[in-house]
Amino acid sequence: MTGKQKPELPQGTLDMLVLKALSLGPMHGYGVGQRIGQLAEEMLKVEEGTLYPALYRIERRGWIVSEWGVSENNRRARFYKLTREGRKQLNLEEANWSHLSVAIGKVLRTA
Amino acid sequence: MEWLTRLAMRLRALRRGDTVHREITEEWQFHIDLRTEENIRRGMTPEAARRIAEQHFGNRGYIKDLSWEERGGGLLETLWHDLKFGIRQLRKSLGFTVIAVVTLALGIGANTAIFSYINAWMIKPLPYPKADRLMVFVSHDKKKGWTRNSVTSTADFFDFQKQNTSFEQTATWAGWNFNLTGDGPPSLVEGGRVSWNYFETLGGKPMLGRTFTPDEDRPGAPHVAILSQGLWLSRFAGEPNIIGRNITIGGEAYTVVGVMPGTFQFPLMGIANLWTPLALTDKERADRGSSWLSAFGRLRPGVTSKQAGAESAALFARLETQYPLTNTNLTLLVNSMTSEIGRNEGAPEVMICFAIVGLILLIACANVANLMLARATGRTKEFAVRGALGATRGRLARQLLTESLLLFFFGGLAGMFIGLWGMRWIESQIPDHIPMYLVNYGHVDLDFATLAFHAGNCAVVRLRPRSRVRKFAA
Repeated sequence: MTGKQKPELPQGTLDMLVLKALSLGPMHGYGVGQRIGQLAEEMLKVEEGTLYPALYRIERRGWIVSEWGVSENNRRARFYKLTREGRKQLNLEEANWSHLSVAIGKVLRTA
Repeated sequence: MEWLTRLAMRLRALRRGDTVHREITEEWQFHIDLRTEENIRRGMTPEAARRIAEQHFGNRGYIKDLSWEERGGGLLETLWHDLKFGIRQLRKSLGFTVIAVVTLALGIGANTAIFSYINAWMIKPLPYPKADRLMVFVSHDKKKGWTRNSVTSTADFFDFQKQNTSFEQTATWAGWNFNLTGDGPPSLVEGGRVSWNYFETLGGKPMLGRTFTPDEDRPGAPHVAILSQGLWLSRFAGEPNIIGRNITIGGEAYTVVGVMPGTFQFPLMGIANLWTPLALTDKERADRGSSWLSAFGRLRPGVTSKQAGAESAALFARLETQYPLTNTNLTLLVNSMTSEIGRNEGAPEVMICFAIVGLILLIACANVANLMLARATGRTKEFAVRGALGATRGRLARQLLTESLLLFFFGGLAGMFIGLWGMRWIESQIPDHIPMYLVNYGHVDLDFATLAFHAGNCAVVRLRPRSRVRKFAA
């Protein structure tokens, strides 16, 4: 059972990935999961269910909004959409992330 | 606006928790179904496909807890549960609840009633504009030591009025009973004869008509009168064209020139429903031997009461040498009207009353605190069980806090009624001849700020036993 194992992602990374996934356009939770899979490939073992609390948290912060819609296979599904604040937040986090990864990369190469 | 949407979301979860739960479940089912289809496409059997989909989704219970933190009622939900549970607890030990609420209500009610009066009589400024600039003149015999709430003599007062530089205006008055005839049965109406600027100096504005003019304050001038709102309503049935109408006072015709609103009061005069100008004769104005007039004044901007007092002392020292026969040892003190009226109300007694009820409130709070402490001890088992079941220290403390606040809410509510009743009782206990000297008499309202203050005070005293929780929850 992989039950209680938390995703092995640095704190806050999941939020950034979700925002990135939604920056491509509105999508339901499953689709967000798929997109993150494509984005991060197999490196990231996100427990699929934990995506939802993350979505709810991001929504509460006002970075995304959600509403019921119809999926590609004609089922009722909840779609999430990036807000203007969400886009701002994504830009900020992307900038921070690239900063950090460059810095860490440097340390790893020289040390 | 964002917090509003958030609040709306929390409230929705609180009111329609089932719907929110259903929505979450539906969303997840959709996810698992799509994953199952995908697995089947990859060649799994339907059973295996669904099992793997469920497995990859993760621990539903755990994820649900995380989700509910975001989507649920949040703090509101906890509070709501605590309130429900608190009321159940209080109902379960009804004896305790009743005693605690009654104790609190008595303490809070008595304090609120007394303080509402103190506030109206002594703390709130007198109902005049810039009341702190109003000074009352008090005669004083430096040798014998007596003081009297009147001027030393009519002539002295007019000398003072003419020569002083400290006062914007000085006004003089004498309480008077008027014999009102015509328009119904004859009646004795209490009021005053006043200098023309009496109302102006106090800052009282008529609700109808005008106040007196200097010309009307001379002997032989046409007779004029001002009515109180009460007299206008009771004796003249609120007649709209009362201004300019003639009324009969002491057998003579007086023209009504104004009506003063009910809020205009002058406690030093007492009940007053009718005013006429003093219109002193020259002989009266020159009288240096008798003193039947009282007087007050409004200080010029920038002049302190001390400066005015010093000026008065110097002026009366001159009068002493000028008129040794009548004025030896006499002087005129300048006292603040606020403290003068406060003294007449028996301020020390009222303050003693306040101190007593303050102590009662303290005792009430201590008693209730003890009761609750005793009860908390009795609930040791409950806390131990809840702690063992995973309730955090904060959660237990919040529960206890909610229960206390509930108790104090009910105590405050009952206290309000006791306060209202207490104020009526106080009013009924004031001897008949006193009310007229009380500022704001008949206009004392329950002071809600005080009520809230007292209830809050009690609650703060009560927060301490929270520390007991520490023992039970790790």
